Amino acid sequence: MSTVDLGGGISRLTSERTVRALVVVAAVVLALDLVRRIYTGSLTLGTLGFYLWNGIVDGLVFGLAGIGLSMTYSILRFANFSHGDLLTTGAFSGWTVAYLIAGAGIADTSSRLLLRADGGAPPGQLDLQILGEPIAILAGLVVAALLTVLIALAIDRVVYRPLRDAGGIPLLIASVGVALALRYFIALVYTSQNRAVTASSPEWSSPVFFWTEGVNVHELTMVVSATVLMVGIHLLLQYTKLGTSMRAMADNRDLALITGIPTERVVRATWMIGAGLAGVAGYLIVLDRGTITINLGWFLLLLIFAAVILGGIGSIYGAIVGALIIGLTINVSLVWIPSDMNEIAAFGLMILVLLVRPQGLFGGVETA
Amino acid sequence: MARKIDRRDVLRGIGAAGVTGTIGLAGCLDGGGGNGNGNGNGNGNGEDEEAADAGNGEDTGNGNDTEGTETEAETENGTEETDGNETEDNGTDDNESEGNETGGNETAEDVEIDIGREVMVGVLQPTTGDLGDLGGPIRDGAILPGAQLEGTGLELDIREEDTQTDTEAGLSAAQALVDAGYPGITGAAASSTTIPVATDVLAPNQVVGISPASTAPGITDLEDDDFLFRTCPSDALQGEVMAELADEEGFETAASFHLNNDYGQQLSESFVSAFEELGGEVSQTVAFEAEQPSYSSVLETALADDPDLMIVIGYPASGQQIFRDYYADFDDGETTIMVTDGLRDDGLPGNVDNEMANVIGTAPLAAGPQVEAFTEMYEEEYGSSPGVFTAQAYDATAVLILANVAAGENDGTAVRDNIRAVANPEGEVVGPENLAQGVSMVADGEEVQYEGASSGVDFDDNGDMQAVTYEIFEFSMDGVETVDEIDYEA
Repeated sequence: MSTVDLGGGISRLTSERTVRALVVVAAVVLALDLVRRIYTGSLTLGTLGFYLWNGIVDGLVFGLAGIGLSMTYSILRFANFSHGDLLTTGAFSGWTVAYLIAGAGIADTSSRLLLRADGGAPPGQLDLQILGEPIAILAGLVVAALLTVLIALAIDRVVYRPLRDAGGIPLLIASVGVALALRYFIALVYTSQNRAVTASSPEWSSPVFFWTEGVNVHELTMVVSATVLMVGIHLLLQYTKLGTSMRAMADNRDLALITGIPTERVVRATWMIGAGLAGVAGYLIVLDRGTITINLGWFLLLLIFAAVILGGIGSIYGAIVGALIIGLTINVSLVWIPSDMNEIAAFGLMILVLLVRPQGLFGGVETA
Repeated sequence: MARKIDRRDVLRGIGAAGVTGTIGLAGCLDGGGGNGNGNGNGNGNGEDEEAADAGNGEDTGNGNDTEGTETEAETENGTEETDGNETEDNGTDDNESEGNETGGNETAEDVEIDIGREVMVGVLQPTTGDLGDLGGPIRDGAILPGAQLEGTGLELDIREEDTQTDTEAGLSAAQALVDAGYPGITGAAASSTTIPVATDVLAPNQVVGISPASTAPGITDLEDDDFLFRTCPSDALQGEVMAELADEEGFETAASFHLNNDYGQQLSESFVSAFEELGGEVSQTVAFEAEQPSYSSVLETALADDPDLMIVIGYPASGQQIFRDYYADFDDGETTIMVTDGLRDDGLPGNVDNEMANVIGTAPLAAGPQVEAFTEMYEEEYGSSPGVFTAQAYDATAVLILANVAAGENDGTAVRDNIRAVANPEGEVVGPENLAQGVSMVADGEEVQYEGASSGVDFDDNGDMQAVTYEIFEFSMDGVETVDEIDYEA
């Protein structure tokens, strides 16, 4: 054992400790300040509760979108930049179907087919909200998932499969190309105009929701669906043969192949689940937001990546936790900093966590 | 900067309805020279158009290509040389025109223009992105003079570029126009795009820009070598209008919720200082980022102290989300919201799925001397009413065409030096009613002053408007309705 090594080890240890200590001190200071603000009345509990709720909602949005990304990363071994545009694909295809059904007899077929590209019948006229047109909205959800799966499989067949063994970087670059192609194809069909596709959400008052006068039903639908889907994925990975194969493949692909796992079939299943989740996520995000744009997924992609990397890329639980942290940071940081800085806070936190744990929060725990 | 409200008159339902009758862009069948002064005798109608087009097909072949590099002297003289073979026709033209050329009421023109070269104008507007909903109609307004002058024989080359409501995309689009040799550009729309475009692309390359929609006060004193003009007013005025309105309505506290760019920040500052001067209290000033997934938490911050009034300064794509989130979580029926020109979008209530009854707004109004002719022309061409800044865009392009013809060449500096000459007082009045005639007069070297659709279009030393009109509008499910007008003069 040489002294040089010892010295280096100690200094690395101390620098890591320093960062850790700084994080703890900062967290304590912020927590104390939060208490002070509530005590002095400069921040009401209602406002803080509102921030927390919005943080959880945003976090679930990122999480739902992030699971698919994390799955394709861990099993296919590349960062899929077209994931955001799969969200957009799901949102547009699903809402087109919802509009076609709900708008029958009210709006022109062309206006319904192109999702109001001509500014046709506004969603209020169709009463396109979850209690008004539940069947249309459910049909849209199913189509969003199915069509996104089909498109992802087609893209995999044409673009990714020939590149399967080419390594992460060519696949990544190819996925950026796929992302652009998807987005501008959607723009070509639907135009790049922002527009609303859902009517205002009904409010639901009930003593169960003691903290608020009325719950936004669309938001609640999104939250419940996201939670159910996350639990479902957990069960799938833990208790099914497919889930075991997926985890085996993520851990060691060669070993999985030797053990007789049909890798190409698992890859297809991964795409189907990942893309299906992306399509559903895009559809539900639009249900919650009410407006749709071709940049829907692309603008979310950076935050989704942040969430996934923060949680430990490749880990699905990491993606969920990371997403909640990012969502909460963006919203609760408004207590201290102006809104134009809140994404900086989220990314700053991500960098800080990665300094302490370069593999991400759940990165050490293999896998999925 | 002694600006004050001079006159305030209620003009309920002024709307877009105006002159009846049709407008046609009829040209002469006779091959004409630049010296044919046009007569505008009002006989142009749709039926004439085909014939006119046919006639002009011949005219374009009339030696223009070979004369592409002719010098100023020739253009000013009306290019007699090139059209020598058609003087008989021109003779009749002149006879007809004498009695009519000053009549301001013609709705159609019979003018032949041939200046022996192409007039190039670039149009740089956001047809996609955050401002896309407003940018499309503004672009339509900006290219309308092209449609109007079609069939007069004037070779007009209007090229459109999209800024995507994005500074980087705007800079490269502007560079593309500059590289292609366009000496004048109608654009851009967002102040945050216009400012870098002017300082980094237009001024260094000596290309002149007239923005129809960039209202940021900072543009007034921008170091642009006088290469940036605008046909819309500075928000230094709009902030005062908003504060006066808030004060009159009896609001004591206000919050400002504004887009985090030049337009949002500067208009917000202008409102805040004017409102505080009138004794109001500003509880929160919150900047927001464009096109975010959710604005709920940011709105919570802005509305923290229960202000009487919240001003929202932004663009439609973000506005849809902001108002959706507002009506989902915050609508207590007590807070009034005041928006500005950026959110004057007919489609907003439909997209928000709320009639937005608690929202009022201010915006520069197109109330120029010749607005009716413009409105009629716009409706005929596009089948919809003109929106915010469309008239300003028409005026910008029209002034660029006139200045270009006056300059005698596609040179940015020369165009710049002729803008005030053709737009400001002294000279024969020209405008949307008789644009072709105006171009023809300028080609003959006559002095003109452009009276626009949006305002009188008099540029001051900074390239700003000298007198403008604001409107106060409200929303309904049918769109935007003007309820009041306020005149401002420098």
